[in-house]
Amino acid sequence: MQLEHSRRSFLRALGAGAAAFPFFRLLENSAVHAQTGDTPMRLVTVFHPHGASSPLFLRQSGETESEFDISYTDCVLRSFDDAATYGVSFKDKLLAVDGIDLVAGLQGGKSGHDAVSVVFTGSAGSSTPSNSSIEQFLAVEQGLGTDTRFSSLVLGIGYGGSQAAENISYGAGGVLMPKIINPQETFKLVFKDLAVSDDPAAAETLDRQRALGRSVLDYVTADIQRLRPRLAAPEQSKLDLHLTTLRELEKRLQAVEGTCAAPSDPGEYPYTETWNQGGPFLHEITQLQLGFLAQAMACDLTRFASVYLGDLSRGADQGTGITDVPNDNHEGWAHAYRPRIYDGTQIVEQGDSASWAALGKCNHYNYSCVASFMQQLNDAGLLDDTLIYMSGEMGDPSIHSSTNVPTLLLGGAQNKFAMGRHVALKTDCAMNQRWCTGQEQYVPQNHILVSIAQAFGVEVDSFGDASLGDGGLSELTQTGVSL
Amino acid sequence: VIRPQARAFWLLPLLLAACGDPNSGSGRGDVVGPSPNSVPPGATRGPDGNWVDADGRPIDLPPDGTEPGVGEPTAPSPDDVLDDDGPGGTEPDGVPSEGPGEVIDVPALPDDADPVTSTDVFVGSRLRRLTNAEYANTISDLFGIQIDVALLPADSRQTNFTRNIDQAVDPVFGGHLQRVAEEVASAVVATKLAEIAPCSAAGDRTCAQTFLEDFGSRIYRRPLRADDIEGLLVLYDAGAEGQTNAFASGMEVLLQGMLQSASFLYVSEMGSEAAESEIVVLDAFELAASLSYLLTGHPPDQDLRALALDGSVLEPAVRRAEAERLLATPGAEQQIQRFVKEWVKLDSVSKIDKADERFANLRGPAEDEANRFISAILVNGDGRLSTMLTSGYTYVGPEMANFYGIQADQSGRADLSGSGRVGLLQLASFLAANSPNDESGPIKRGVAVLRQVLCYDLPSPSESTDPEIQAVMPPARDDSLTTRERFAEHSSNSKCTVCHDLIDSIGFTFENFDAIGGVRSMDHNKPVDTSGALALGMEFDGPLTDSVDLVTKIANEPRVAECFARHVYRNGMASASRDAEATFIRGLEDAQAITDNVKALLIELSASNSFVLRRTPSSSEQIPLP
Repeated sequence: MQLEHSRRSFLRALGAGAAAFPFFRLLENSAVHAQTGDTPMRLVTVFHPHGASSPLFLRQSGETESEFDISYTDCVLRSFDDAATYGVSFKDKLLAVDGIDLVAGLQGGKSGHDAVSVVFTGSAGSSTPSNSSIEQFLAVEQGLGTDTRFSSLVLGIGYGGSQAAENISYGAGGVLMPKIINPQETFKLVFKDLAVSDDPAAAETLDRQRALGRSVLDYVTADIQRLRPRLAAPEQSKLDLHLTTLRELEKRLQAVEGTCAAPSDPGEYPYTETWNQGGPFLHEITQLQLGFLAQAMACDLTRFASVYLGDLSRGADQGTGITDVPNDNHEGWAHAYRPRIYDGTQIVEQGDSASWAALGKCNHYNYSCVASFMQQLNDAGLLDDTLIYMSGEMGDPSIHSSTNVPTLLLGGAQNKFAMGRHVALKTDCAMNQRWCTGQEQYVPQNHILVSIAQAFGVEVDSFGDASLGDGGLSELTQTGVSL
Repeated sequence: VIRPQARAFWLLPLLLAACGDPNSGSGRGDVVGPSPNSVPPGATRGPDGNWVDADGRPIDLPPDGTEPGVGEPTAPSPDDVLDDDGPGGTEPDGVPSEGPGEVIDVPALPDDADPVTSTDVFVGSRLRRLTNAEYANTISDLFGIQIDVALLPADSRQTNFTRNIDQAVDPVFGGHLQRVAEEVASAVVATKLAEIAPCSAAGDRTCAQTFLEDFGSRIYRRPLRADDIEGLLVLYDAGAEGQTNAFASGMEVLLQGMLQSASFLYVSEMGSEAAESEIVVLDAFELAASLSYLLTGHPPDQDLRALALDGSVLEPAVRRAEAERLLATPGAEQQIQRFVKEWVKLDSVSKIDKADERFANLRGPAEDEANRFISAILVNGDGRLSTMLTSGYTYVGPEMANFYGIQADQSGRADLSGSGRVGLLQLASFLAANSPNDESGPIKRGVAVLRQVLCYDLPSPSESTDPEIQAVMPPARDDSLTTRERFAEHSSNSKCTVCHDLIDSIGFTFENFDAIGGVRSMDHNKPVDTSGALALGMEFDGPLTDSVDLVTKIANEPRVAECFARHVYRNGMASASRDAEATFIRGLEDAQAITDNVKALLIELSASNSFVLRRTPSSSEQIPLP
């Protein structure tokens, strides 16, 4: 079948190391970079569900922030230090932070799975957060995404749910931004209309269609602006998202400058939802979505994106290569997870290594996909100008904890962060307790969101829930700081 | 500087109070407290009503403490009301008043409407985006063109319902709308132009204007304003310019604009633009559209449009009569099916994943059964929830008959006696939708009964601010124990048992049904135990032998009828505002109109002030254009 064939060749192309990114050559970007050094920075937020296997993630006993090992067998982060597979080691472009807590969720009644909406907004809000997520804030509210065809791309894998507990991206006022989970839709949206015809008649038709399209959008905009003054804030935020949408549609009507070869259509998948037997294609879809995003960034079609990675349910074969894990991810891995527990100096509870190995395989899979994505950005000369903020809604999934959530900053980030480190902040709970008492010294991720905004040149005092304190997290930008 | 809206209220972390107070009927909406800045986590009210910390020590609120009722008296602000939606949600809240209500004058409200009092709460002026189904129905009614809604991004939901005020036009959805609008406009000018614009033989700009004045009012569900026409003729001119078939080209672009406009995509609930009062009446065209979409999911038909044009739709008696007429249409049948399916999640059977491979072949038949069952009772039968709960029969095809082990007659009607089932809550679609992947799910089933059927407000553990409650830990899998035994064992933490005893003792009554809703007598090689109890502090409390016993005991309880009425309101008004809901329910009580008859409730809603009145925002509730 034709579709199968093209899909497989595309995947082969994606999977094969340094030469794996054949379909574009955007020379302008690297030229600009070489001449001026003034390349805009990119931000990708990446969410992965169901917590992290802390014994295989946290800094090990005896390690320091600059001397640490992530290459040991079973370490969930090992793909970031695996030059044999990914061409180079990304260890010097990794900043792991232990001890970050989703305090806005804990205090605002959004914990466990419900904390998904809190991760990149720093806000619990009510049905949805009260403000935008960091990538939408920078791209849309601060206008840093204005110059590209797409201010941002909001992508997901395997889970198309439309409620706050299922989405990480929010526009101004906390209006939910649904994600695209169908790779063919991503392809069509990003690449389908890029081709420029050599035929003058066709070019003229296209110009006319674009002009008419702009007229239509002008009319629709005016209609919304007429209604907006008569509404209260939440309804106005909804219309503001509609206005943002119209501006995005208008950008898509502009002619594309530069050269950028498009990938091929991946074809239609019978299922894209993990829980609707999308499973068999989970790995392919993950590779396609991240591959399309890398290419969209390489073509400078967008500089901001969020990615909601999939949950490896039901036995986790699904092309991921993961075997020997329980069939049921919820009770088989997540709630069966029993971590090894330190009391600060020694191991006081061995936990169940089989349980953290299973969760670790799931974590490692998601991290390896991001390592592959970084490789593609690196090949495109973009990794040094990119910041990836990767985190999740839980620390210990067996107790749905919103504390000690896995936190990674990845990429060169134009040296705005002190990369190449594994920082261990003060732990929140006495480590021989499975849950905290509420008296701990939390480190809200809101400070990370502030640091990210500052790295993009946007001066903010706080981000999300303002009651959680001002300022960025100095540990991200300076070495040797301790709380 | 970012100053996101801080939460000016505090959801009390009182699981005990929430679970122990079944009569708190209006639920979270009434819970008001100090800001998180002033009261730390774990704080509760002491015996004297003042705030105390977890150890019982009094808490000194800072001078800027915002606890309502403390300090200088102020008028209640919208932030003092905590709805499901609440600040940060997308729904303006009403402002409840204290004390007995005084009758207030609302200009433009007809004489036969119920009086409005100062304690009444109405939802704010708003624009509700059409659901995907409503959008497709509208395109179909206007142009006779069918679009496949499966190609649109899924509806977002609020309190389970696709009719809700959170639906927005984000860049992904907007891109799809643009494509559909272009395709529909293209198809219309190719095949339907003469039909919708009889003057099209003339094929000139005047005809475009005539079209807008005539058919245009069907697309916008109101007569077009002068500035609408002006703006749309600009589009016509742009499309027509230099084209050989100028009229069709102009009309195509004009239609693209109309089909993407807010006036088409949103059902307007703004009220008269000229009104300056705080409470406004929807205008006749808004009312006709709201009524039609509520009852049929379609735009107004010719008869209803006439009632908008002469203004009579403003009269409650006229709306009652119209509601009765519209409830007999095929659209109403689909609306009622959709309401019930979304209410108890029956519609999720088409999407959920089950370990049991038989389920792949039961999804379609189970949803089909649900549709036929709902229609037989609510549309073509006595219309009552109590009958749905205890019918004693269902309507099945061969797959479900075989799965249930029952015999159906020619019409598909099948007696349920002896099958372990009696009605709605023993349909496979309910049981499967409210269960995990591979086990019976007493928690989900218990919660569904408590929240959806009894309106017993259970906080979700993740809504708690108590870290011990947040740290939910379901019992580990143990093949030597039945599901019931595992969940019974885990209830060792008193903070959990206070709710879980209530949940589990209802959920356990369904233990004779497996993860896909099949009957079972054994679980992990032990006989199933379906005994349970209602222990809600209500008159109908008592032991239960199984879920048939459960539904038989509660089916005719007034609380169940009231709960059903609340859900009719939530879906019908596309609202999560509990205070506005309470106003509607109070009106039903005053009129002794509480019933579990869905059609009667929809008629009451159609005739009510809640349906007609909107609160206009004050300038302090607004945000400047970015």
